[in-house]
Amino acid sequence: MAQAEKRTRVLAVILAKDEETRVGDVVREVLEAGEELEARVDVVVVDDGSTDATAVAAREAGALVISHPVNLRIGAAEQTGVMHALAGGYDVAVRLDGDGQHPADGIGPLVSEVLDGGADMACGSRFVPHGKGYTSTPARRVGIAMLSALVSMVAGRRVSDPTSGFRAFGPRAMRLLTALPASDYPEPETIIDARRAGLTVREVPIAFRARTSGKSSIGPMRALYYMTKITLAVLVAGIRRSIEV
Amino acid sequence: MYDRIQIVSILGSVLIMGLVVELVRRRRLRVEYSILWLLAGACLTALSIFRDGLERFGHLVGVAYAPAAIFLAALVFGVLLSIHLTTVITKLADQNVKLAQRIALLESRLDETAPIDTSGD
Repeated sequence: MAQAEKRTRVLAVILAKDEETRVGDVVREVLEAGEELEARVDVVVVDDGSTDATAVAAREAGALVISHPVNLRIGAAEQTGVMHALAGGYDVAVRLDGDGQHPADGIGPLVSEVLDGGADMACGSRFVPHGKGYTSTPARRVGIAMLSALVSMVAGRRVSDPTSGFRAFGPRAMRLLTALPASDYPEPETIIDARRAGLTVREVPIAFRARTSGKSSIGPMRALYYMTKITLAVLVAGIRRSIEV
Repeated sequence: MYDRIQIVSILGSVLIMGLVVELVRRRRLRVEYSILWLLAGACLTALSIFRDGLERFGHLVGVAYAPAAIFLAALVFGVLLSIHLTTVITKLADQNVKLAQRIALLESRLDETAPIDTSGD
């Protein structure tokens, strides 16, 4: 497929806030992984109000950069990337985090779950059976297990890794995502919204990389807010008016 | 024939309504938001003047000392208004995000043709 024209177009959306040291490597890794795929892969970095040189580093690595004028939080950043994908007529949008925890070789399986598997939304999961080694702190594991139980209950089917941000969207999922108001920690709640809108959501086993440097955006005090907010958001997502896409 | 508390609450209600009208006049309050305040002010004034209505209202909600019913009504109104205001803030926040996203998308498109300085200096 090297010389043939690549007809299917995939947009890799990398979300970054103050990741000047790592975002360049992520962009290069994604561009390289894209060469291996049958689809054409373009890369856009959504710089969510960074105060460092994230935008410069991303641009130098070869990505188109969309910079939010202020920090709008992760849900809005994901949405902005998807808005760009819709405007550009892309077939699939894949979201990755700019800190490098999502390995670019996971893009292929996620994209093919949408293109060939018929899923509207494919989520990379660290925990599905045969999911590969991923170490996390015990507290975080417990938190994710609780959210998994809650999201599975509301969604009406098992969701092993509801907080995973490594996910691919087909056109219907893209339209749904941009129709919803941007959320703070969007992952679990959008799974419910997608299910309720009649979209097909699937999980794909992917081994995430452990964080090499930097820290999680979620500290201990934020964790409490995070759990409370997500629990409420998931319950509300289960009863609010669904959106047709 | 008027309790002191009655006179105070009449004056207070009228003062609030005056303030609201003045804010609208100076364009510091939108007319649509002033309607709520004016209605509330009018209710409070009416209840302050006509103790009969107040007594009956107090009896209805089970408050022995009628003028205290005014405070109850005011409190309920305050809570409802706060809820209303948070819905307004929610809408503003959502619109704000949407606007910022559109600006970011537009700027990225401009960047492709002619780089512009977005640093703000």
